[in-house]
Amino acid sequence: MKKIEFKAFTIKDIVFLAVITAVTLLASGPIAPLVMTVTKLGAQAFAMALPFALFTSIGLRKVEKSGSLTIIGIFSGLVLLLMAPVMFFNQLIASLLSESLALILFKSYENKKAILFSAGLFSFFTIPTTAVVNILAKGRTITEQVGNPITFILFVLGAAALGLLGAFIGNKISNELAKAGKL
Amino acid sequence: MSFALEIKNLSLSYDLTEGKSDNLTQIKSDELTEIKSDADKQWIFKDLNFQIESGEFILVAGPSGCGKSSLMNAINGVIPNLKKAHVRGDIYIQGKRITDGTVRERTKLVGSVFQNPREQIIFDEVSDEIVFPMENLGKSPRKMREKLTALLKMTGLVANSKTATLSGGEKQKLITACTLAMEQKILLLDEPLANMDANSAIELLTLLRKLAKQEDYTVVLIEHRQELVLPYVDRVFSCVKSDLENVDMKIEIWENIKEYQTYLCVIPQQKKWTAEIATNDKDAETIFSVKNMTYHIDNCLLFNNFSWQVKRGEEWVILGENGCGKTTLLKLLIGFEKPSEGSISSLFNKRKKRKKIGYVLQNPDYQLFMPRVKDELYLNSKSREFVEQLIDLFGFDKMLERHPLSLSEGQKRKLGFACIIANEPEILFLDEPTVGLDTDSLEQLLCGLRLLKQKSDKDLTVLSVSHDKRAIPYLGNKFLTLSKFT
Amino acid sequence: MCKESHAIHPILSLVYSLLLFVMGLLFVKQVWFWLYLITFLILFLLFRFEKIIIKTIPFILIFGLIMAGLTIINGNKSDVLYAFYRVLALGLASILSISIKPINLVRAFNQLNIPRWISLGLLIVIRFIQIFREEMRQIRQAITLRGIRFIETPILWGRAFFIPLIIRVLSISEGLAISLETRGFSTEVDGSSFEIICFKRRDLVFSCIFIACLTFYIYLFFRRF
Repeated sequence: MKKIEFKAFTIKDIVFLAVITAVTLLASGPIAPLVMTVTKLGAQAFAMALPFALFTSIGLRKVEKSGSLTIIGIFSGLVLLLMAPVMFFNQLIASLLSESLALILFKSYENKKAILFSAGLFSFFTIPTTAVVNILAKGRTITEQVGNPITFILFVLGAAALGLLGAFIGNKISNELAKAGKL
Repeated sequence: MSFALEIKNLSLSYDLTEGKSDNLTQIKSDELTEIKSDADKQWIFKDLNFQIESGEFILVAGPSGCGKSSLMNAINGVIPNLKKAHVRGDIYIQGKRITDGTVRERTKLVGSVFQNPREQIIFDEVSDEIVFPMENLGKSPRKMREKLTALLKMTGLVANSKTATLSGGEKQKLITACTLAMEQKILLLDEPLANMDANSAIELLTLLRKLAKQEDYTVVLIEHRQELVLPYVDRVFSCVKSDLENVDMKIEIWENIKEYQTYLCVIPQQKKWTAEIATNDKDAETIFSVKNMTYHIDNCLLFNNFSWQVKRGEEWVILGENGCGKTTLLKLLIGFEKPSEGSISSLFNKRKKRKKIGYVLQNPDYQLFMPRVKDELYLNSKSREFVEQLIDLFGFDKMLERHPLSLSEGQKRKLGFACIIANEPEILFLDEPTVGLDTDSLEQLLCGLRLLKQKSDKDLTVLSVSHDKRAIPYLGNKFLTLSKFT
Repeated sequence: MCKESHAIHPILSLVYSLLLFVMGLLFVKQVWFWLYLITFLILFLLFRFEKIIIKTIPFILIFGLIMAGLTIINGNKSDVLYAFYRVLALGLASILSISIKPINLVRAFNQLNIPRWISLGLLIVIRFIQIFREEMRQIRQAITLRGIRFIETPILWGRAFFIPLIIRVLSISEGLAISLETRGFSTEVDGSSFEIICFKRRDLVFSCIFIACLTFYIYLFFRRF
């Protein structure tokens, strides 16, 4: 059975992941402040899913090493730490969850499905993290956070769907750039 | 006696083992499984040999894309450690063989200064940027402070200046200072003057000359603007086309600079293009009218009560030092920036009319996005015949099916220019269109411009920004020189 | 060498910012929420954060009003007010974190033996957000110059935006990586530090007042139970 391989990251890998994180944050920049204080669970993940998935999938195509998404999560979390400290945990845990599951299922990012899964569901996995953080830090019960169940279900499904769509577009762009010898 | 830098039988090829290159991240010569024989490979250069002594200032000259930067990267270890390539032969620094060394190992001996300083600066303040390489090498705070003070004095930079507000020339000085901070005695500089005005370039060249003569530094400078550099250098390594079929370039070494200057003057120039002095019609309609314009950017005054008019059919070249507002003026005319005070009226303000403006950006990467060269050229083109003429002129016929991004830098620049003029604009803005282009490519570009003028029946208005003395006389017959406010 | 500055120690700033944010969200429904805001604003003014406060106010007001506006759609009056208050709490917390100079945070991280690649990555992200804002603007301008409009040809517009953007990401990151390596950066070697970020008397005074004020409001909050 194929094992999950962990390769060392070069400076080139780290710089690329940092730069792609900068672009991801910039692309989601206009949306982030609007949803940062929304109390409805899932709303943030829904709003950020597309840009996050699109750019992180390109990042993972370029650096196909186990741990790449977690590094993106750390970098984006550290920057968000300067704006809303809770977001650090949110990003870090979601990236860890998403990456771990993708690697358990597909073993390596050489399998494109792993990239689609990992990048596509990154935002989706911020939902449980946000719920836990809200319970611990703000004392809000799950029922309070969910509010209207239909809206919640729409947010959750929307976050997954938009994330997968973003990752699919990111993969398409990566394929073209790889063909041009640029990736 | 050991030389500062010695190259023995150095060969470089980007032609990696067929079909396996995707799986290889770092290929070193000894690790490579050769499938192709040497004779089948296309070499950038093959069996290069040269020696450079301490205190020498060397100019490496040659057409764009010929392999000058590849040579530099093979010396500093970027190739093959960070960029895939097949390298063979030996490199010695101060008698020590470094051919198999990592970038970090070589960095202790060789300092490298690259193009695009803006994209290499990571700190907010000048002092942090300069001490960064010293921190990486584990220097003591006292040593760092001393070196920082000396470098600030040498470059004229201010310790707590914000890096974001530095001009292009100052950023280049900053990146050069970072390299000098590491105290390697061999410096490799890749087109550091590309975006500098003459004054900044002379300042940097004087500094490098001083380092070579007084402090025994060995300086290897890659540069296209030879007229500026030649008075400062000891020898010229001229990269010319190789006589061998599967090798791109070879190096001719010129010991006597005067002889080289004479050689440059007698290179036969196949001038298909001529400088046309357009007869400007006084009654021609005014296309752009700038009235009492004032424009600030980040508290820096670029234009104060500036007035100017451009009439149809005029050909203007906007000159001036870096950071004096040449590109900003083009952006103001096109409406991408708004004046702080005063007004700019234009016949092309409305969106539909704006399509009649063609703008060739300095960096073609912003303008190329189609999947094939062919698609790029025909997108929004007005006549098939004209596009075919351009394909023929620029030699795109063999690359029509290729992805535009797979082309070399020079080819991309030409493609960027060709696809803008293929739209047959009435007004053409050219922002440093000739940066990094060799004479042949420059000739093609000016020929393309002439073709467009012929098509437009001399109605074409051209506004160019250029530092390139080779091109300026052919880009226009009216000159607007901007200067910085002191 | 210990650098003189008006800012609070970066790690303290981060921790206090986190506390202010979490507590602020807890306190939004309290009648004394305004008092909580004013207390910490006065503390920040005493410690010379006035420039950051002035810079932050317009953004907070705009986002606060947008959030309140969005809440009007399906909320009652008090929900609208709380939405606005939440943005104020976020703004208050951000004053401290925005005041951190990234380089000081990086040096503080290095002193805490946090791997250098993490702190360098943070610096790159912060620096390149600014650079790519400009890059995106240039790409949009280049699209306009080639006569492509999102409304007319959205897919072509998408190509014209994303392909050059990713090419710039690749080109800039490759250049930067090479530049860092040739400037001696390594993930394996620790290197030295030009400046030491130390805890100063100013940090101690700020911490004492901050903790006292926060404890007082936490007491007020829990007194109701």
